[in-house]
Amino acid sequence: MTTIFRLRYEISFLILSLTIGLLILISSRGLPEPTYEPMGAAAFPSAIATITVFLVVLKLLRIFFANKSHLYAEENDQSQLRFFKSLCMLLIFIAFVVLVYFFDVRFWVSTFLFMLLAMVFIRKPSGMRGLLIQCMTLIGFSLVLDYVVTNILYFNF
Amino acid sequence: MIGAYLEVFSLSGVMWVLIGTVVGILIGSIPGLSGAMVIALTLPMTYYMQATDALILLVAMYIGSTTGGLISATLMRMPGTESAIMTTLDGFPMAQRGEPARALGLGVIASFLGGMFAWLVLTTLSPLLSTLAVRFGPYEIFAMTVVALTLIAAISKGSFLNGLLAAALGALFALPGIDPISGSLRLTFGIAELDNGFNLLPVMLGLLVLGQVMLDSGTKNERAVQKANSSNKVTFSAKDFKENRWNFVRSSVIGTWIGILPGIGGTTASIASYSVAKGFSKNSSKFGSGCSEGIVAAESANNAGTVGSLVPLITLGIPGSVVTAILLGAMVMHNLNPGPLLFVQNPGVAYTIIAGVLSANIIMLVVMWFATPLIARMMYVDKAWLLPPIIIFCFIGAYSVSGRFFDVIAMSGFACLGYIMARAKVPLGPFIIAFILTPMAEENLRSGLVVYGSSYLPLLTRPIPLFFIVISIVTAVWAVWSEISQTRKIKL
Repeated sequence: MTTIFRLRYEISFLILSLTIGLLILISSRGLPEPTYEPMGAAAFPSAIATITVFLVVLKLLRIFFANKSHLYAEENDQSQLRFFKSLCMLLIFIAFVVLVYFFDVRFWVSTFLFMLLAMVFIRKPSGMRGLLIQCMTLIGFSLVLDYVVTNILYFNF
Repeated sequence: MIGAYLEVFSLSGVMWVLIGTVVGILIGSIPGLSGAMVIALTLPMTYYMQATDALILLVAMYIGSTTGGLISATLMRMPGTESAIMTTLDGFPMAQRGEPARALGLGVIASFLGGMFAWLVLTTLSPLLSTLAVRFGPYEIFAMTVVALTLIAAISKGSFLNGLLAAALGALFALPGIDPISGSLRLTFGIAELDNGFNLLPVMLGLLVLGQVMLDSGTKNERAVQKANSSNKVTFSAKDFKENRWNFVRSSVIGTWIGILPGIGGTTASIASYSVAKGFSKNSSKFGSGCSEGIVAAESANNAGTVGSLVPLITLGIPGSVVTAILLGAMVMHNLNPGPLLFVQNPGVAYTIIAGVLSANIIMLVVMWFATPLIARMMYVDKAWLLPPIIIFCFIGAYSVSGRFFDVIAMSGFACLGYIMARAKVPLGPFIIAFILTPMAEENLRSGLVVYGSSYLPLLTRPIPLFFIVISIVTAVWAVWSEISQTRKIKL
């Protein structure tokens, strides 16, 4: 069974595959001709990219000619919410990376902020006491991690 | 060989196996977390370990995670791992009937016996296969990668077309970087960080871990509301063993055989074994309502399949599943040469993996027998406490590859791709395995052309490449045919 929401993801995946396939196909044409071996650097990427484009077209045709009566609308709000939550989690992660990389915030501080925000986003803490325990645990965890990352793994952010 | 067994059964060896098995069982028992996730997350930590220690740790995690799925499948009707799906059919009803200890006991013993049988096959078959595989030329290896990819695309979840598309995309992402024959740069689009191509670790962490975390963060927090059966002890009776003795053997044989075939894996092994057991049973009508034979068939086969999948990995360098692809990555990371030459160049490593399997099976039995009540309690870890640390470990893992933020960015990109693929029901297995096998396939095809004077003909005149190509064609035709007939059934 295919939901309309899944169909959107399928089409997004196909567009992505097509873009990458075409990009590789076009770029491999600029690669130098083989000199001492028969195949050269371009042939294999060209072949894989052509296969990808062909498969995408085949899949698109299949979706286009599929029996649309089997499509059913998922609860749209629920699917939207799932997508929104996943996107938010990714954005929180990107914010963490930006804090560490561009703003040079101490690793334990950014880890603490990220984890607190992510935890609260997934599940609201049960009251002030719960939040306080959460914060204390996270500070401890972040400090230990900061020590491991800077003094044992020698990461230089 | 004896040295490898002594190393694995030394104090440090046992310690690594114990850590790996316990972590694997724990992660395997938590629905939503998979063995592939934990092994991918552990991979960067193994940088700082000896190759043999790293491999036995990862193999133990693999075996532990396969078995761990049994606990949640039996007590919660939620298979912790995909391969435990068939266990839920009889494990949960038996637990509901008031016999959770018996259900768990049957599962644990079946897993142990299945694993031990497959270990015997691994011990005897691997050296023989590798002796044969050492004689493989470039076209033989190329044809072997083609058959592995075809099988993986054909058998993986979803349609064959989706599997092929995933494999093609995985192959495309493996192309940028240094050309394997001429050594010149290609398809880097002026990005200096792409000179060595995409690192394996960010790709796997993004697709398998971060993408899954994104998916999980969008779903309801079900784990917190599930309630398990109160009694989680493990028991096993001689009567159960006597009743199921042939079932143990038959399911282990099926599981091992299916595990050896690339791309099929534990889930198919347990489904096939369950169906065969039902066909042979005098109580086939009781299957699905808490029948001991069902649990034994499913659990023997999935553990045997797990160990069986190591056969093509260590003898041919062909990963048969996502987890074995990660293990292959671990070997490459530790400068080992996976494939036929492993037994020649690093026999110690090959035998250490085999000995690790034996040790992990024994430790798994002990841990599952005595620690199941504790593990069952830990299954209820709140998602809010689980997902954010996993993301942080992903970040550290990706950054640790070469200390570049590019790898973190690449991991985020692959996480988005993994999320889209998962929501579109496109399998991730073919993508990852194609990403790993493509450089090998290209290098061998081009070397073959040099060796055979620009002729493709030896692919059809030499027996081994021809055999593999025939298998690929038959598999592809079968996959297309079964898909067409399935579509017809839906239309009717």
